Amino acid sequence: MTDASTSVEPTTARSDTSDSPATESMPLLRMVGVMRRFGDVVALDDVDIDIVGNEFFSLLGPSGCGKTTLLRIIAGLDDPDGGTVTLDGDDLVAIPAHRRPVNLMFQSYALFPHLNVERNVAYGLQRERRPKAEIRTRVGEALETVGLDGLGKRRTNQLSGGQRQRVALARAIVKRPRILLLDEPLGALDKQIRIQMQQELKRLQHDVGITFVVVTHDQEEAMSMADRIAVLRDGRVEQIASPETLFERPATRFVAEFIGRTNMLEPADGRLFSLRPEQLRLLSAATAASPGARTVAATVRDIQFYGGVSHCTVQTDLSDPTASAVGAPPSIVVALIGSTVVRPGDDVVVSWQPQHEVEIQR
Amino acid sequence: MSRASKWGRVHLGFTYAFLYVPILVLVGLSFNESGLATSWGGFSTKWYGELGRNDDIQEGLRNTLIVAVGVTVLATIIGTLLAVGVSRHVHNPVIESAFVAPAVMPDIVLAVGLLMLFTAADFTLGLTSVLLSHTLFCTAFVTAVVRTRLQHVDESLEEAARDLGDSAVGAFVRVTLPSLAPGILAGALLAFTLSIDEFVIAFFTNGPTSPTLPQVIYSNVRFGVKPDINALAAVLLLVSMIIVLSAQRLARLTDSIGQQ
Amino acid sequence: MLLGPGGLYFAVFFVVPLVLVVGYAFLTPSRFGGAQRPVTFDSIMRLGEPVYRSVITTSIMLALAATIIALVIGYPAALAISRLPKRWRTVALVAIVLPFWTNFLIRMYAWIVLLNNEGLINRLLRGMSIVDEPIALMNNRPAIVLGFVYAYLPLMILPLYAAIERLDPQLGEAATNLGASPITRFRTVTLPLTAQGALTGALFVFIPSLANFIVPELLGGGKTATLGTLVRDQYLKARDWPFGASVTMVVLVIVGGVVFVQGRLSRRAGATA
Repeated sequence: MTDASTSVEPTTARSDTSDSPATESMPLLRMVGVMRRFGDVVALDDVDIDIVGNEFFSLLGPSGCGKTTLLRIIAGLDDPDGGTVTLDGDDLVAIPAHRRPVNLMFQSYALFPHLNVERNVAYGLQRERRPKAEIRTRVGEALETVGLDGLGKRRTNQLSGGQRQRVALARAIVKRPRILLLDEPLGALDKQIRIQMQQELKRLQHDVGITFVVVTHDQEEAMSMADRIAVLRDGRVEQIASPETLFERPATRFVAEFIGRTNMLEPADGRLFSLRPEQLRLLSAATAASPGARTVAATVRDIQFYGGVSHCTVQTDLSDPTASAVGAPPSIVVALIGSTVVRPGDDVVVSWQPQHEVEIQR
Repeated sequence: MSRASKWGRVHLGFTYAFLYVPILVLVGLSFNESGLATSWGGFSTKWYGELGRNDDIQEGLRNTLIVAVGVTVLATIIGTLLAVGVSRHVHNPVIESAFVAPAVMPDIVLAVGLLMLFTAADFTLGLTSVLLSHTLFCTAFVTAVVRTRLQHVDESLEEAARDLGDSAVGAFVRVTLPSLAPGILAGALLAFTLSIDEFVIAFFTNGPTSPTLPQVIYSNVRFGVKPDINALAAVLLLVSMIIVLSAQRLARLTDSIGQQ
Repeated sequence: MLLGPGGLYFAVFFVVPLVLVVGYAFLTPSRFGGAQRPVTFDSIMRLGEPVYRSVITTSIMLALAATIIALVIGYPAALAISRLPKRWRTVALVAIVLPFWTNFLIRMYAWIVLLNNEGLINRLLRGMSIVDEPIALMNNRPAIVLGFVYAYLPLMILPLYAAIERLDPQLGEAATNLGASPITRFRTVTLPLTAQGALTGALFVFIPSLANFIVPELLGGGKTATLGTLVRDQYLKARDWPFGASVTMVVLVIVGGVVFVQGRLSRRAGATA
């Protein structure tokens, strides 16, 4: 049975579906067996995650998977019912929330409406009782880093959504925490700005050198920003790995279907295979397939055009012998570059190289 | 529970004690045979009987109810019309606040102003002047309550009705009024309760021959402890409780209906 | 039309009385009440006399004292209610409001029963041999303040509670996350953002207390002259209506001033929670 969680000791046999962090050093944040229950509902069930310094880490999963609960536990706004959370080896749970070197950027930003931008950003430093001159300098630097210099005196209700987000960011990073937690940071933004901010957050993390832990339900977002991702579902860790590993070697069916789209093959022997739409080719009935390729007859049902890529859904001809041999699903999604020449109702052949079938260990 | 929360609840407990002990003492005394605070004469309901035989109190009650019913009808009608009218046609904040002002002003200002009005107009003071005065006072409250309810009402419904052929008045009566109903009911209840309890305005604008119940109470308590007042207090407390609790029930009921 | 009846009613029964109040203040008293020409400033000038100036300051002081005490009692109470489990909160609020709906006079009478020389408290103290002679618990100024607080405390708690409820809990969490201890969080976030509710509550206690004459008479023994008792005396006993009107104007001016200041302060505080 594949161990889908990371292990730090290099001597332990690693499966090729998980990635240890880039550096083999002592993890910065280590969560072992974390449990959290709300009445009858189990929010977190035996969660093990290690996060290291200077890493862009993401907690990814559908709503209700426990990722926000985990974030709040790290921040100290909630306590686990079981398990340990350590920072640099020290028990984090024992430290009260307002004394942890961990800062949180709220999904709603939670900017103080009665303070202007500067005072919002300065709030955390004032709690540390820093000298006024130092506060002024660091606040100025933080605002510059997030691209808001000159807006210090504005009131928060006079800012756009993107600007408010930057204030929330500045407020959190100015304290130079060990870990910066971000709860769905890009959820409230327009699509164009979101893409831009993804790049900026990545750059920021790199420049500032703090570990970022981003909670999101958007797998594209996590994939584009994170060094490593922990996929969570119903309070349990499904897989922890780099984006590439998650995509190419999903450890569970859930991960395979959650990250990008996939086709699941279930042959009679009970095994399970994931086949990405990008690995499939669409041929007309007459064209010959490449050597070694598997082919299945099908009829085009639907085409979704996304601009650069199209997803073509075909209805499998289940009487095709290859189809039953590999356990092909009744409908298959094929990714095509650009627009296509096929139309709904056309008879086609789906072909792929067998080595692209990725086996999922149940 | 944190220590702060524990102290918080203790404080809350003391607050409730502060608010309720005096009233409960009255209720307790109303069953005291001796009727005095200084000695317990045994359990008795005789003071409630005395209450029934007290002519002054009976007359005061009658006068108060006569006024209250009239006030409720008038204030509800005028207030509802005002609420709709102000929401739709008035955008000047000064005028808007003018319609709410009687509710916020000190009652004595209204009282003396109205007294002077009636005197200048050579209007004999009596229950009618009280009724007219209370109506002004209560209308402001009804207007405020109905206006709040109005925010939940969709104006386009009335427009749709007119588009379907109804007249302006008809659409208002058949479409808007029903959804306002909970607010109007609440306003009416409020007007009734306020009028029954109101003392200062009645004190100034009433004639000498027909005191309202609060006026009767006032003349009684000025001279010290009176046992039948204890019984009256208990009765009034019960009535208030019933009114407040049914208003609560009504609010929750109509809210869920209004959610559709 | 919709506004017709209401507008007319208010014009006659609200605007005209107010105009009369202002107008009468500048007239001369008639023999049996009412007023007549000539127009004069006498009634207004009388307000400047030391005895009346002290009435004004006394009334303001008493109302202010009641407001502050109501705030001190009411704020922690509102806070405690907001921390109750959800299903208890409505009950808790109704319980606060219920006494308010009992007749005002009855509620003051209840305190007479308690504070009187032959009242319950004195009887208990004597019964427990703590004192031999009854203590004068009423017919003094503290009793008046007590009466005001008792009467209007629910009006302080409700807007305070509303303001506390509207506070975004994530703001408090953000403050904690940024390093604020619970006390600091209260001081720097909760308090400033609920200040508006406190101001509204303060207004609801101050305004009615200022011009009240029932409490000073029933609980104060009629010994303390306030703006309320002064107005009543002028209208119903001395029958000096112009002077009564000018005192009423003082009440209006003070109330107007306080409302104005409150409006200014809330606008400056700007955003609500």
